Amino acid sequence: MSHPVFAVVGRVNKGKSSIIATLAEDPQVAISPTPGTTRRLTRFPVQVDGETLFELVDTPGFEEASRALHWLRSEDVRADARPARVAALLAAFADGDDLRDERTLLTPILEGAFVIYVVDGSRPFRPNYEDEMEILRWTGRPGMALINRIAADDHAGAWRPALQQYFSVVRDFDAHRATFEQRVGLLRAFRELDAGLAPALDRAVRALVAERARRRAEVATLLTDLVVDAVTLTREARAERKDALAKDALEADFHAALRAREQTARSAVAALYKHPPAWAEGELDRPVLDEDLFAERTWKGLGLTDAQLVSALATGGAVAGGAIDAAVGGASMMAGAVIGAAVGAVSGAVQVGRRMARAMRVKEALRGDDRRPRFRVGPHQNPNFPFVLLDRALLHYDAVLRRTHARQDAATVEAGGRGPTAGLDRAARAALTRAFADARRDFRDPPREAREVIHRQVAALVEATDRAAGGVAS
Amino acid sequence: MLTPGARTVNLATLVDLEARLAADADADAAALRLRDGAVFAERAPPADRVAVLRAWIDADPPDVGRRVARAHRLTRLALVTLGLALGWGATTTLLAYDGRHPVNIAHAVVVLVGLQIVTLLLLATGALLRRLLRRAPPVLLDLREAAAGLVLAIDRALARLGRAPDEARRAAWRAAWHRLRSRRSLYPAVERWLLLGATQAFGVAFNVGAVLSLVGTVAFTDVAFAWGTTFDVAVDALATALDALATPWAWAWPAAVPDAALLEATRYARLDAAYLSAPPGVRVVDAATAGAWWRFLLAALLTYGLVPRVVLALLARRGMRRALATLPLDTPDVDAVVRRLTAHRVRTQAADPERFTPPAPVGAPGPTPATDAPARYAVVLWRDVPAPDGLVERAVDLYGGALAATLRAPDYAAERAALDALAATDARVMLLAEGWEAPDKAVRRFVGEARAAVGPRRPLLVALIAGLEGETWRPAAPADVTLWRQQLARAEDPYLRVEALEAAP
Repeated sequence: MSHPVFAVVGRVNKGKSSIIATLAEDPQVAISPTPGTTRRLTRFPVQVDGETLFELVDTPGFEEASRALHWLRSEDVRADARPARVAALLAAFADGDDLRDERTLLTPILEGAFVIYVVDGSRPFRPNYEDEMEILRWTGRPGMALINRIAADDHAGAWRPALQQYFSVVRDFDAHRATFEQRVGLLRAFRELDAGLAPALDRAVRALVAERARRRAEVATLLTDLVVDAVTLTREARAERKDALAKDALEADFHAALRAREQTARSAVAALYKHPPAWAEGELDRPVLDEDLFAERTWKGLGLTDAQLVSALATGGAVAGGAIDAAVGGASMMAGAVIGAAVGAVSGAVQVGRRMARAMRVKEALRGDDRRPRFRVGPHQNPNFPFVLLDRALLHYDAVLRRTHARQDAATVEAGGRGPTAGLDRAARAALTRAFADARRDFRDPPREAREVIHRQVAALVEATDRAAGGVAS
Repeated sequence: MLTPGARTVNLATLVDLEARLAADADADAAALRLRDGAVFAERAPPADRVAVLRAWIDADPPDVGRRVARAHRLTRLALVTLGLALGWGATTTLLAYDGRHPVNIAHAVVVLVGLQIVTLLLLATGALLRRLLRRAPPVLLDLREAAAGLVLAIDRALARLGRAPDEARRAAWRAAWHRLRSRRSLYPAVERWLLLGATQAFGVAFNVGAVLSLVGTVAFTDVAFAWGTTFDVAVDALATALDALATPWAWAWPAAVPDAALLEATRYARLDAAYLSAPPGVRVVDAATAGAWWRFLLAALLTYGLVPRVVLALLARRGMRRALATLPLDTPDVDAVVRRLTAHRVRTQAADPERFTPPAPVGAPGPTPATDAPARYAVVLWRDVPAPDGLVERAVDLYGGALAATLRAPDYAAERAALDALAATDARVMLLAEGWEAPDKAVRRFVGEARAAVGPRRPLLVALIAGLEGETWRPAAPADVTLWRQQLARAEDPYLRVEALEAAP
């Protein structure tokens, strides 16, 4: 065997495939409450730069361990002959369907794979599980036991003393809730099975951590693009002055475009973490992310508070006014800063509370053949809009991070209190507010500096989100 | 089993019974007791089991039986219509004669008579095989499993394409499939006679159409028959063969037996467009002779076509009635219904209470009527199911039974001993298991081996618990019970029942 192989084994319905799905980040692993869902060996090679560092093997579950052990014990064999006796079991039942699952799962182990034995720690320990542990012991291969959790109860305390008699390493690992850090920790624990495993596993872990950091950086870019595109989005059309329907259609089109842009970003983020598109397209069943982008409930809970917003706007206005003060050499006696702060605060207060953008007539110096007035909706003037959008994106990102590939039900997102941007410090809030305003003003060609400010803040928020979700810091 | 003369079920009642049992399969036991206890609240239940079940069905008729019976009648009517049309059409086509070349009697005999003989032989062979093998021939079983596999593959493909029906409907179909699968073997005779009756109705109609067309053609047109062959065939040998074919009616209708003279006279050559026996320049010697084959054709059609089909149709009708009349109706779920309907009702409500006291639930389970002796149960404790002292007795008591034996099956060796013990007793079997453990191959194999040990009709109950709560048990979760039912439905054992062991009162 050119690289280490880890065979994930255990009784049916104890979470073997869930653990594989989580470690391999593969949502297509078949997981179902029906016993016998996994029928054959499926190999999941972990590769870096085309080189397979190690392999995980998903196996069918033990279904007739007692019968298999009965056959093994039907002859007296010494300990050194037990692996051969297990091999004889495979040969004895090769023609036919008897003990098919046992023969299949034992094959990679007899070929040299390490054993990863999975039990459900939410169910009580039962002595009959010793049959399969004993069979695995007869193979003579080093093994680790993982105590998974399928239901809410905890019986791990009863399992450990039994497992420790058969396996050199016993660990808890909840396939449905494991964070990235825990997944990496488990891979590191594999090294304990054999001293020679360290180089390959260490290299794999380094690659996974680097991959995590790369994804984080990509997410920061995706969310930056989302926010910049959203604050600079416009829609224009010509209509008669009193053609309210055309204006309504224009506004509806504008808001639909914003929703679609948000959805595109969500799909891209989910795809980055190899989650299925069906889940990415809105099967979330918690209120905040399930609400429409422009729902009142969304804006009530996300973005900056009114006080934070006005403060940020005032700060931004003061900075702008202060620039004028500096330009006139202080002759204005800081009036610029004071007035700027007041103007910023007032204008912000006017926009606060307006969730939907309105179409406004565009003044034109020159008109072409179409003499009808031109109307434009956007950029969205509400200074809180990009914060709301960013909060939704970060909450969605958090859901993606916390959702392991073993869970195949609808995702849930906890969003207690306000969104992540409400936790920004004052300077960061003010910087973002200014940057959004700059981008909004020059919506046709947003300033690069504004984009960079936004990207810096977004990257910091993304890293904080990843750390909170159990990701390893870069 | 029903005693002769007792009221019997018909097809509609049988379907209604299955529909009600399926609807109650996952219902809460206490709610069922409450509901069914009201059926005979005002009168004593009859002694006849069928009457009890009919009253139960009539109390809340599902209506599906009437619809199925009507669909069955309409199907038969359609088959009869089709048969008539096909028989008439085929015969008319075969006897079409435009005066150029006579009708080839061999074609008509092969199609109208030969094919029917072949189908009759196939029917007889199938019946013989079934009797010898005591089950459907292997090829039919393989076809059934292949069909099931195809349905599952289509279901999975649709799910991948995102076009599957919603999950609730898929779950309902799966449940219906597993239920049908587990109860197929209950009504094999009913299925067989139903199918035979429908096919023979078609057959009778086909032959009636054929006879009518033949008689009409002969009566109202002039038809000339002939035969021909490229081979050098001796007429005498052919006459002998036809004699053998005409044996059944030769004694009653000699004119319908073709003789050598008729064969000589009606041999035809298409090259000359004339009968071989006719003088040169003359197409036919005797027009009456040319048409004489009609008697043979009619007699053969009646003997090998119509009469056997009529006999089989009558046989199917009688068989169906007998099958319905002798339905055992003794599966565990039917037993449970009868028990609920006929159990003693205990009321403790005061006539004029001083203060409000909740009345005791109507229909609370009590001992089975004194006319039935309590059933004895051999309880098998599957693997390490916790069973403190007294738990097994209490579990058996819930079913109004007595404990005959407690057997343990913690491993394969103990399973063998338990199976031997089950084979040696006549008690009903209860397998007590933890529902949260998946119903793996080991338990499915054991259930199959237990069935083989105790015979095909002994009730076998799989009672599931979730675990212990103090000195008693918690019933298994409904989702676990459903999973066990689905997996054990593969056994297609109508005397196997899977349920959560109810919480002890």
